[in-house]
Amino acid sequence: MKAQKKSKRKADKPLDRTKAKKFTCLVCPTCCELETDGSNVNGARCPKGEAFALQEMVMPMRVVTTTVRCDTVGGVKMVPVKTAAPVPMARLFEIMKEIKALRLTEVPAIGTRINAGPAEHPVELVVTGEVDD
Amino acid sequence: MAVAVGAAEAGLRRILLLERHSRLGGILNQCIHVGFGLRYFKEELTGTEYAFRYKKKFEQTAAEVSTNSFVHTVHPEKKVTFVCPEGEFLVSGEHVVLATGCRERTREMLTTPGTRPAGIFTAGLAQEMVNIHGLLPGKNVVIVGSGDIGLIMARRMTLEGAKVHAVLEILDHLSGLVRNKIQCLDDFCIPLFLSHEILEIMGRDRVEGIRFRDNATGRVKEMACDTLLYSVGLIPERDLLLAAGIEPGDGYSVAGNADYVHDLVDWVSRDGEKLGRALRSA
Repeated sequence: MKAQKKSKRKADKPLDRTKAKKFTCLVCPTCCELETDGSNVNGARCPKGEAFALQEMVMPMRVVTTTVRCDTVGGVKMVPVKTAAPVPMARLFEIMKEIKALRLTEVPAIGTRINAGPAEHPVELVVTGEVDD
Repeated sequence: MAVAVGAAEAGLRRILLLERHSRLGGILNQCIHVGFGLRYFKEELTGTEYAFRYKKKFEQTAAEVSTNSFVHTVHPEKKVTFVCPEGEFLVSGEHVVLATGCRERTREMLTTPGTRPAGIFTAGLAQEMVNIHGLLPGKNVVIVGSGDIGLIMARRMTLEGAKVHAVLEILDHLSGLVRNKIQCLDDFCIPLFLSHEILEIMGRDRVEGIRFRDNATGRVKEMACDTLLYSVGLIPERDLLLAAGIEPGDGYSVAGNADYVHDLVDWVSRDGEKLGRALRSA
């Protein structure tokens, strides 16, 4: 079983040692150990992992998950949300600040899209859970 | 839910699901972070989304659901007593399946010495406070144990404006998933101290600090903090069977995390369905 899994790994390519960096893949729970120099990727068992390593090299991106405050008649509810797409790590706290400033007045359905952030840096959020009214 | 789906697939009818909360999904409802469902749904979902998806699947079955229903006793001869807003009921069946999940280990179970001030939480409780109730348990946090919930909460508390000073782990290796260490600790420069043991909790009314030891060198250090989160393991919850003196087997089964602790919810669903299908022949 294990040998079969390993065969999915492609043969290592030569890397530019001056630029090579190691990452652990965050795409899935397999956690492949990746190494890349910005053009070739070693260690990935799938194409998603290769794309992850190349992205991580130039600008790490993450999906942010948090809650948005919702003031309903029944009291304050926290609505779980995630960003519709991964956002740059460097802007994480800026984005959190914008999400925290949001106030909803009624509980949205799961899957509802909410726009946050200033016009030049819009952030789209997706409601990820059901909340009782 | 998964056991009911499996049992319905195998052709069992008259399935009753008792849930103590108002909503199905259990702990998933407070897990707002991503990382669920890549194996089962082949898509990266949050815990809440996973619960929603699975509930849709569950609703295809003819299983009956009773929420706000607290099972207080399991009796011999496969009878169960539960209370709900309508009153107290005794139901009987051919199979009784416990899918009660886990409880978190607490400070008391570790018998950490020191005072007993406010500000000591299990990581899962802190998760419920932040994600469901919108309350921040504290501002200066130390996390004891490197379980997955502790790692996830280190990130969550940081995003919500708290300062997580350190994660202490008594073992020489991480106990959670590697990906959680990277995306929750390394991304936010939160130090992980391996082979470090908490020795004492200090503070009169509120936690004021801790004393801890580096077991590799034997050096004892102190650190100021106002909140401690314990993420030191999960214990399968089987008290209902224990209280009745019943062993699993012979019409009584234990499913999911109440059976053993799974690292991914995807495997809980898979195992639950498998158990449900096997009930037919049992």
